[in-house]
Amino acid sequence: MKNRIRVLRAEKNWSQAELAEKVGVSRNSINAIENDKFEPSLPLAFRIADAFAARIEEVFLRD
Amino acid sequence: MIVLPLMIVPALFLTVAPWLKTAIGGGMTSLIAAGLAMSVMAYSLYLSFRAQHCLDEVQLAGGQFAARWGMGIGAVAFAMLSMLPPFWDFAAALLRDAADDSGASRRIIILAVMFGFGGVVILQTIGMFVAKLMWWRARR
Repeated sequence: MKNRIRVLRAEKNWSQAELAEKVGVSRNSINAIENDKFEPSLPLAFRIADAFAARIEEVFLRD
Repeated sequence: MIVLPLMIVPALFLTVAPWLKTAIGGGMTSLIAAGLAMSVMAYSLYLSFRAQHCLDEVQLAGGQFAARWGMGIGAVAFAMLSMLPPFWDFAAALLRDAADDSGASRRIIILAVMFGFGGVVILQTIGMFVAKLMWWRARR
């Protein structure tokens, strides 16, 4: 599963730490998810999408 | 800061233990040691639960990976260490220093078992730490 977190973050001008705080996880966790090293659970994926005010399929893409 | 009691209490007890033995006797000292050991273990469990409560799912996955592999790494490390003669020289020297003449054979057995158990636990903890580091490095 790919994701567009880096792009969306850049659009909002958010750091990983800022996104982590909005989503309620650690900065390292955001880094791992952003670099496709960890696939988040559905609730966390929804929280990330909500933080960007986007639909989940706009943030996470199929391979 | 909150983990300081885990180091200070045992260190303080080990420092005053010889004086306590002469002042209140070996039996009472052992009772105090047991009480302190249980308190320190309970406190460490409390800290562990408190820390786990704050973890997110990525950190929990890292912890699970560390628990799964760290134990094995620690056990293998202990087995490999036990093949090295210097390790046993060190263990024997430690036991020789710790045991006194009275009832030495029983004490040596107890100390040897405790040393072995302690060694495995310490190495497993280090193994878990290393496995966790590896897990996070792979996800950086």
